[in-house]
Amino acid sequence: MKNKLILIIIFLLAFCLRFYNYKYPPLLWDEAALGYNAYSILETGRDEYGKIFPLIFKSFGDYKPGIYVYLAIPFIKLFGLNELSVRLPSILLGSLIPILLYFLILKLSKNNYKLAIIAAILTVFNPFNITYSHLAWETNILTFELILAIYLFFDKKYFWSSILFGLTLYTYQAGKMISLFLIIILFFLKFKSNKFLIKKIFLQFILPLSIFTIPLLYGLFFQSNSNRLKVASLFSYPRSEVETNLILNESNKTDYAIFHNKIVFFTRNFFGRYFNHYSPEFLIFKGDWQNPRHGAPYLGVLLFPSIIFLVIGLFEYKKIDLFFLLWFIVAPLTSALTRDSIQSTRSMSFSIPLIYFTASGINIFLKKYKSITIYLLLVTIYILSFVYFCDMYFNHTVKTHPVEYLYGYTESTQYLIENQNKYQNIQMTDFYGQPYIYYLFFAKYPPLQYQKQANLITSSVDTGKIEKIDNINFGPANWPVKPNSLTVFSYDEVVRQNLDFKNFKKFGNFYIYEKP
Amino acid sequence: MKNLKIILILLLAIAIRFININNYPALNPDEAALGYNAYSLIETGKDEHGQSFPLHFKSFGDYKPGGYVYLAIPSIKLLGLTPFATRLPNLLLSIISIYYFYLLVKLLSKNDNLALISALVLTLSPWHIHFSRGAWEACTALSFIIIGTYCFFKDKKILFVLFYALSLYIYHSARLVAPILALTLFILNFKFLILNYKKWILPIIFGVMICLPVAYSFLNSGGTARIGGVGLTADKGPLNRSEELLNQHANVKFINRAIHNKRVLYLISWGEKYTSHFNLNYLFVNGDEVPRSKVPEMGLLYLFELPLLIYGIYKSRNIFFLLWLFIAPIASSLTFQAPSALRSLPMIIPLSYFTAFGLYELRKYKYLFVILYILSLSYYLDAYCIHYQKRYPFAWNYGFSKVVPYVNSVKYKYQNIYFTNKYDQPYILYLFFSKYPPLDIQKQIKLTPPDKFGFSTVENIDNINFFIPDKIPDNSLVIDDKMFLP
Repeated sequence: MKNKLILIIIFLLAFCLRFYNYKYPPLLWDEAALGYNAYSILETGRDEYGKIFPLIFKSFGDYKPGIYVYLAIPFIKLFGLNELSVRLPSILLGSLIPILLYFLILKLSKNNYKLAIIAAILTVFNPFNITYSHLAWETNILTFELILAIYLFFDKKYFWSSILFGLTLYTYQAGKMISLFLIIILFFLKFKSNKFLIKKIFLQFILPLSIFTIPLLYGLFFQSNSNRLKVASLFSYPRSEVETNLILNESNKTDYAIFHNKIVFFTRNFFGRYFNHYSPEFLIFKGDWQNPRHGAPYLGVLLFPSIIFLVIGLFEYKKIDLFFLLWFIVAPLTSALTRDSIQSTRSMSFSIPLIYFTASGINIFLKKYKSITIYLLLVTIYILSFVYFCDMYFNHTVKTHPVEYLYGYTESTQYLIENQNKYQNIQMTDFYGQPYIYYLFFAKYPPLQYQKQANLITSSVDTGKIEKIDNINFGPANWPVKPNSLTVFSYDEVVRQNLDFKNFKKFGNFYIYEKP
Repeated sequence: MKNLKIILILLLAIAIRFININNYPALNPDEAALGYNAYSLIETGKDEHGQSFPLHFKSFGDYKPGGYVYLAIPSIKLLGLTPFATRLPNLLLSIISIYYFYLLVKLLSKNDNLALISALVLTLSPWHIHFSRGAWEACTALSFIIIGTYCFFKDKKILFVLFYALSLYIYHSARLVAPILALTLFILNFKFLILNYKKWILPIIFGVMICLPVAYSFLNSGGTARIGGVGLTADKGPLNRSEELLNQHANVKFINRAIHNKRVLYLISWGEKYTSHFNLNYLFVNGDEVPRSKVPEMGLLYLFELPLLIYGIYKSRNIFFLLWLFIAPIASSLTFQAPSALRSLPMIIPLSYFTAFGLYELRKYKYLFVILYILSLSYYLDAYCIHYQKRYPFAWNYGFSKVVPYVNSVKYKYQNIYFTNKYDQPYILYLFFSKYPPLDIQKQIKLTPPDKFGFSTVENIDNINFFIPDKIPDNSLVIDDKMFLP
């Protein structure tokens, strides 16, 4: 009873922290796309391109896996198409992660309540989990599913575990490799302890799972889905020509073949990326330094004091932690094998072993120093660190990186929609990418009508663009503007064309010019 | 026979560290300054600025601790002013310290094999090889600390105090690391020491007495000049960030000021610098950013040593070496430039110990590790011998030893000679390679105002100018990095 109450409090606390200020930071493209596709399915049963109940959504040509879209449908039905309903699946499941983790740790640690509670509380306040639960990030759903699947596996409900692992394949494109690693780890642990389960596991686990993988394999081999894999993979980027020549000039071909060959190059590159995920910069001081959209500025994915307890937890490793240790080791692989030197989204499930070992460190620490002063000191330091994080996240994130956070997209699009009927020609800049989806999203544009004119123009391997909906053109905003028109400029376009800011209406990074 | 193994290891160490040491890597200005000042002391009893037997050498305005200069006097007296003679004290001491590291581990673990492996790991460590091949005071100071630590455990109190105190005279960072390490030794062996406290009174008084001059110079200008230049507060980043963050608040309240206080930000910045020394990417893949302290495409340790290191730490749980590992980067983290392989060099000792421990535990796979060591060492030697000098020529002033005699031979044919000043302080290399009479330089030396890190240089000696003017007068010789213009 007492435990139930604590869990309810933990859930409510987590929910409040993730729900608070849900309109902040501004909606990102992917979120708008997820929301509009859900809306489209809800209204017509088809996605924006008219495909009936797809598993994978074409969207910007990046082929988004569909779970998130389907999860968002009930909320859109309830609250309409807005930021809240798009983000609620992530907020809700993100708030459930601490509870799930609590049960998983209970299961694995032979009922160590203290450890489980500490881990659950840490998850509530952990920046890594808060930032990804705050927005509609597919990776957050993936993490949720993984914990649940692992729990079910250890609970010997192999069939349900298999179903959930199957779902992870349709949740987040770039992160699904982690499922494979975790399944291998689970098998490894299972066979170590019990060798007579093979038949049961094959029937209840492997068989259902392989059914899930068939459409994916089909897509990989016969459709264009493998393109993205190629773009992202680390091994598509060999040593640059400049560097090769530099080395050849310093020595000769034999030396190059022996000491600077592909294997050496990729090994060094891989380990550089892999170690980046364990660096104090990533964990504590900078976070995902390549992409400011992935967290608070100048802060890492853990709170400051956590680094000390993480080290203690790892140092005091016991046999019972084996599963989490293996997870700790494989989690960054998903992003270390890609071109980015660091990527927290792809490796978000890393947060769970991090929290586990931090909690284990705290647990060991508190066992050793059982005084109330130490306890209060610890809580105070954590609270201070958390307050600092909150200030940085809620007050400084968008202001430090207004461009990355697409500051002004929402406001300028809404203004455009309000005044849409006053003008013949409307031009919206595509400087920040995919403006059409914001228009569709905020105008709640009838999906049936849009499906008819949807025409994605693909130029590069990555994503394509939509150039026209009704009288609205999406493309570079250029001076001079047509008569009777409304034009949305980006900040850069105004500066580059030497225009006077005074004549424009300002919405964040966007500047609107109206010509009667 | 029993000592054969350690003798072989030491011979290997000597081979790796002594081969071609006179020419490779080329002498850098700091080494030249140490050598030339020693030369100046031999000839005139005064340093290049005319100070007689100073504690700190003014040099480029960075007030180098004097210990190394005095250590170099015998070798320069005997062998003349050459790079080899300048580097000899550090080379010898680094070899001796490998031997003392062996003795230390043997004493602590009572395990001869572990001690041998530790010495071997240190011998082959790229980090240690790099800084023992050159007149690096950091490495010399570390050697003193290792010998001192051995003396502590051998209960030779006076020697312990002496070596620890002497390390303070050799390198700045040691002034923080050595006292903290000594304190750690006292605390760890508190029970034992308290029983014999009477025997410690004399050594401690002795130690305080030798340290007094350093403490005194700290209170005066000498020691502090450098802290201002390279200290944590020399980095203006946190200060600017504090302003940036405060500006983002619409109306600044007291709580905002408290959160974005510059002290808070400096504390965070310190934490970042301190922990950056444990970044695996820095230790095992990319190494230091400063070209002088790294070889291209190489970490400070061999990549395959990482699992050994982790296993060694986990298995051995040696508190003393663990504490050493955490103490070693403290001095380095208080400077503006971190992580720094040079300033945190003492880390190599615990790292080698733990790696060796891992190796010892996994000794049944020894052939695998022998192969891995041979492969890694050859990769390192390739990077060090072939690519290093060509990738970062500017960091080591290659070619100076050849240019200077040429300049001297034609010196009086021209009215003005201009040297490029791209490479830090060329004047000292000129003095070094031409064995310029110290008496003459003492009369005319004049330092420029310090740059932002507190370093100065000298712009003219006789008719030689160490800068390139916009307009070159007639009858002059210009020496740029690949150009000779009459």
